[in-house]
Amino acid sequence: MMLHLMKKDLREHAGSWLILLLLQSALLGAHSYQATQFADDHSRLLILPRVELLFLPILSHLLGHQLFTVELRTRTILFLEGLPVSRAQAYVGKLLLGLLVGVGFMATAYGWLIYFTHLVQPVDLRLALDVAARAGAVALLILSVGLLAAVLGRFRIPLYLALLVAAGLYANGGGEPTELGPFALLIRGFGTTTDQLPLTSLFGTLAAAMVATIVSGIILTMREGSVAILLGERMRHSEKVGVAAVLLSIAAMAALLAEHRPKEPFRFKEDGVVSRRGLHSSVSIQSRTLSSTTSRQLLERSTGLLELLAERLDIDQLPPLFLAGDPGRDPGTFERATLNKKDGVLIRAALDAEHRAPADLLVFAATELLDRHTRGRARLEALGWLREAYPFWLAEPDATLAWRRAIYAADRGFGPKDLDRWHQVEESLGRPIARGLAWSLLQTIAERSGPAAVDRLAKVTLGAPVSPWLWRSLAMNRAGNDGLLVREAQLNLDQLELAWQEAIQRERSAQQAILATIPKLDGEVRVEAPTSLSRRIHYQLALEPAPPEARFFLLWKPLYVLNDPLDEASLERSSFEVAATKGTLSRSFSAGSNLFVAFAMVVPALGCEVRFGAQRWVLP
Amino acid sequence: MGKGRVLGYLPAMEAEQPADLEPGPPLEARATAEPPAVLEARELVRIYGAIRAADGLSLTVRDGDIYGFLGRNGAGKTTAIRMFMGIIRPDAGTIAIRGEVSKRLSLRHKQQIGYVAQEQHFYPWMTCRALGDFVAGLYPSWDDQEFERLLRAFDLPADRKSSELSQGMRVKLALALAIAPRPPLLILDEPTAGLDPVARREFLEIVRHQVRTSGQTVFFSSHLMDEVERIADRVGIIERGRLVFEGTLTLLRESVRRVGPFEVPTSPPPGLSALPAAIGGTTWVGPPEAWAAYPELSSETLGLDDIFIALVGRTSG
Repeated sequence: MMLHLMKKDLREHAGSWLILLLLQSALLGAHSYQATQFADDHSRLLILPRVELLFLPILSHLLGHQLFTVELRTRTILFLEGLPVSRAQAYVGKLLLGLLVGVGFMATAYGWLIYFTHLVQPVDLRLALDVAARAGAVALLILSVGLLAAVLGRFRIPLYLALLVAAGLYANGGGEPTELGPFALLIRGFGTTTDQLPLTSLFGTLAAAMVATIVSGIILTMREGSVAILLGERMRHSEKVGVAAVLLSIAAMAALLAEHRPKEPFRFKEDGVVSRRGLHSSVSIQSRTLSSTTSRQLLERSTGLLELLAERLDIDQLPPLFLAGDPGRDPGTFERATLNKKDGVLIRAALDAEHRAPADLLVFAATELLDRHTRGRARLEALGWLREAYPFWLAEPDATLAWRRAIYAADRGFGPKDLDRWHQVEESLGRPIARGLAWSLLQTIAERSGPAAVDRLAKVTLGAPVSPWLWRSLAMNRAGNDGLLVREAQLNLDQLELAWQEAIQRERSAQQAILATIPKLDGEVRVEAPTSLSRRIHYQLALEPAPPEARFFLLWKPLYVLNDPLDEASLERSSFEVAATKGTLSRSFSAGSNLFVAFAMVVPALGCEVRFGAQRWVLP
Repeated sequence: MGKGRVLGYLPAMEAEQPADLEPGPPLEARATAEPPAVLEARELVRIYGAIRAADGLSLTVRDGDIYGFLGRNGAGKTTAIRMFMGIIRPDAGTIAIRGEVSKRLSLRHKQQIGYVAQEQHFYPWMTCRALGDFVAGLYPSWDDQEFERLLRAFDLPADRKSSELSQGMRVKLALALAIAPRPPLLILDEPTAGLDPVARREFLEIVRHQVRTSGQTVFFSSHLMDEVERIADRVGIIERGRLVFEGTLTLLRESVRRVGPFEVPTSPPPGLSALPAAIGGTTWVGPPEAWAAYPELSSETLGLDDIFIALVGRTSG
């Protein structure tokens, strides 16, 4: 009986089959013609996946629409219902027909390509089988997912979203798309390493296709054989909520698994590696230029700071830290490398220069470790200033210099009132000055409420148990700065402001002489419109007094949206002589672009690079 | 007057008869006299949200019956028929086709039923003959010659696409497709809805002729009393998902009468029940034996339309 129904469907959609046949012929013809234009060694069988990826999504969606939707739209399903046919039979027959037709089309294409290959070169049987296995598995997956989407009707959108979320989670977890089931079959080593058919991907792809087909079958046969295309009309609210809950649960579970999936630690492959494992941390240093003794001294200091950090924050195990020597880097600049597949934090720095005064490097490393430990949350939340200040505070830096940086920040109008917008503080002042400001606040709290209060503040934020983001956003304590200060340091923001201003005044008096040497830095940019669409940036610097033979930088970055978070690592830097106080940026922009622009220069009295004149704007 | 009292006298519900009525013939005696049941529904319930489309529906269609299934729009006729056809599953109750009881009809059971729906949704690209070929593949008992004969008899163009047929022709084609497998039971769901009076009368004549010649059992639903009167010999009246009357047309006529016009008692005597004044005057309902027990009571018979309104119109207010 099902065969009888399938024959009917086959005849009913004859026009669609013809269109699809023409489309496939056109695709095959175009690719075949293209293949004749290039004399290379690649087998012509390799055209199959290209045709497959272009053709099958169209085929499966057209098939799905024709087979499942037309019957409902024309209400002929009501005629079928009156006959000795169950809906389940009717729709499972359509599902099978869809798969058969899809496979039939692919078999036709495969047959043609075998013939086409045979015309110019001998057909390598092994390659032919390899192509058939790979392309066949992918074809079944595309078909089954396309038909599932058709079966789901209006609920196919959650399916697409779920696939996108899954892909995002996979990529976020360090996965390589080319290693993923169908992509691995069609991209990795396809046609060149025929002896390495990725069996795991092959079976994974076939299993996914089977799951999609089974899910389609279940949906088609459940609830009196009514189909999911009708579910929109027939689903009870409780069922809709149930489906949404299942999808959300799957997404949440996937997020949990992705967050907690253990990774293998990173390992240096080069020579000159020294490592040390502490109770709560482990550090490895790789440098070809540092002596073994110097490396071990740096290792001692690193481990010392990290162990202290972990103990104070009550963190059982910090992610492993890897410091890689990069002699070509400017001293004082550090880069965190991306480790997608391995566990740990890898930082590149000019270790030859840094090992003499490694505080900045170690603070940077500790901050990155905290980011990794909190899965990036410490950076994103309003309490981000603590993440910046606490490792610095623990490292016991040069207090005089740190206060000087805080005074510079205060003179620029920043203070405790800006804690809730820490990103803007960093963006406007640069990270070293912002860190000095944050440190001065912790120092003030330590002076007023005791060092234990500082530890408590850090522990409840940076040392908080790592919980899944969903759970954390729903249930965790997310007190703002004022509430946190009152709770942990018995000090509200106003009281902190008063105490901090007193401390700033005290330090200002103590460092009056050296503060006077810091130049007043100012700069502005304006826009010129050479054409109606093009915009050029002119800058003008005002330094008082102007330091001789110094350079300054114009920092800029186009933003997708005006309030896009600024990725410091991707800031563009154009270097200019201080003497040239006026100039033009060589790069031009489109009218209406969103742009971040700032000036920066190294101020010896502050011991760091200082940022000024920062602004975000939409180019008029 | 509550629904329960109306139901109380129904021949199909003898078990619920008030004790003070004179008993009719024993059930067993009636059963032996009556032909076997082709379709038997017992206590069917189907609920859509807050609506009870079938609410304890029970009915019996016997071999050779032309059973008119009457009810107002929304009374539950189509839901009942969809349950009989196995398209939807009852939430409770059972359906028996020729004595085989099931909660939902199997395909084998469905092959014993020819069905004409209220609206015809044929595949528009199929001709009348192609539709016959398609349906033939689903019925082992399909009689191709009979189908060809019916096409000729109904004056249907065999090679014309179904999308090019008039409404009346489509209904006749549906009837031909339902009859050609020679099923013992034909179920027609308001088949004449949408037909003009001429086409309607022609269709009913075809059904009556078909039944006379083939001896098939017909169960057809309608909300038009004259249709039922024209061809049915037994009727079931459904209201709010329950059967409020089942029996012959004669029984129906004898059961519902208007009291008066001269002396109208303030309340009905035992065995009779008052119906709401949906048609004007005082209307009482009860089995013929009950009416016969009160010869002094003056009453008049009613037309079938009035009886229908009297029975189901009570809920209109």
